Amino acid sequence: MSRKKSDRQRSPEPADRDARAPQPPGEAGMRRSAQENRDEPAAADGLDVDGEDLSALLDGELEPERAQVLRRRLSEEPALAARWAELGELTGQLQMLAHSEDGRDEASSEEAARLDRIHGALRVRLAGEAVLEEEAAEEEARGEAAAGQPRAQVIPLRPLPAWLGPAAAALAASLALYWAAGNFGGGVPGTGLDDVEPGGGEAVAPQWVAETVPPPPAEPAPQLEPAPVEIVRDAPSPTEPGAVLETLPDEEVQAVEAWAAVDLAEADEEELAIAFELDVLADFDVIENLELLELLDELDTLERI
Amino acid sequence: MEQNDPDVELMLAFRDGDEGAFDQLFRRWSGPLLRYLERMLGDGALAEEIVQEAFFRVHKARERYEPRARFSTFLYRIATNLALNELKKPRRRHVHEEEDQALLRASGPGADEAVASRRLGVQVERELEKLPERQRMALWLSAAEGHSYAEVASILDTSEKSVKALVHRARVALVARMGECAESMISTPYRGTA
Repeated sequence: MSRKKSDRQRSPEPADRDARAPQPPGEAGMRRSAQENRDEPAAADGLDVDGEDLSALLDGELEPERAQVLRRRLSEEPALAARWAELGELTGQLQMLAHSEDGRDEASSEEAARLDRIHGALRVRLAGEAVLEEEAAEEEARGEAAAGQPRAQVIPLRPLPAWLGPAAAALAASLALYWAAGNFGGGVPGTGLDDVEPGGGEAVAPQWVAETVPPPPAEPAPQLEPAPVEIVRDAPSPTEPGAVLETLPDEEVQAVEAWAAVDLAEADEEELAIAFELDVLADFDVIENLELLELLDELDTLERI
Repeated sequence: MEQNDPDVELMLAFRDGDEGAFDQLFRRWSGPLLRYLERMLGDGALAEEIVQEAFFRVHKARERYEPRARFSTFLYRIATNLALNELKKPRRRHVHEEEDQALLRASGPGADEAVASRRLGVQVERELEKLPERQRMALWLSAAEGHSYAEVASILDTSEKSVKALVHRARVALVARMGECAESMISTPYRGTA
């Protein structure tokens, strides 16, 4: 149905229509239409075409087969031809209206002036819109920057120095040893560690230590000078205390063993400072040990005293 | 995609950043669009506003533009929707009414052929305005501006079959009204300009 009309679309010439479409006749044809044709002759005759086909033929929208039938009827039926002529006259008038300004210099210049005015207003509006969009984009960028600033400057609630992880792990292991030794009246350094295998991940876990530590000796353990605790800064952060000992060289294991026997109540400030970083221990499973918590709490109390 | 439509090529160029292509589209289509809208709305100033708004929306929609139909269909659909929205508002007074009346009065018996032709044109315009909106739009787009029924269907968001019926009904109604108008003018003696 929709065919070649687009080809005519840019043509301002009404003659570009169907070649058989009548040209605008003026008032005479219109007068005749009012007097003679109130009905739809094509629709009334019961043939293959209807009134709408008349319009479609004028508009070049009728299928070729139907157009052929309708043209034959137009040549045979004067009433139908008259009706078609009226519709064609009107179409010619509409086309003249649509393109009337094209042929008149005065109207053309008037319309051109109007279009220039519209174009100018449109350009001003578009420029204003561009400025607004630019401002909005800048505003958005500023907003994002402002919103991003605090995020970038967020201060961690629990800043953890890199060395604290290994240190805490070593401390936990030491405390576990200390606790184990204390529980069993142990003054014997390395009591539990004798059974620790190098690869045994559970060797220094408090629970394991408590279960495997032998009965406490009858005589009190000799008091030893505390060995300095050396913090291993390059050791990987352990996920459990046993992993710490795996990373430590033998001499440091021995140091830990020695330090484990130290009474923290008499430890120096540095040792206590490390021990009192209680929340650091929250990263380790050992914190689940209630007895260890109690011990740490006691240490905290001692610190406050 | 309408590959043979040069306007589509211009629109694609505009989409890609060629602002001059937009100006070309404006030059090509603003005139016919203005005339169409004037006939639909009966208000030149309002028609100008809608032409500006329609091209403004085309400009804004350039990044989303997909060449699925002819550019004119795309443009006329935007404009038609804007015009229909305006027509839903309380009817504005026809700004050309006084001008038309003056022309009709001046062009009584004895007027030359050009004036008579203009007079008939004014009558057609006035009667056209009295048609239902969609009939008026379908008839103008198809019969006056030469859009295909398929394009009109796309512009009016309806089927080709409906367009065919709308166009025919509008034609028949307009012919009848023009005939009545011609009879009335003949039966009413000319009394000169008031």
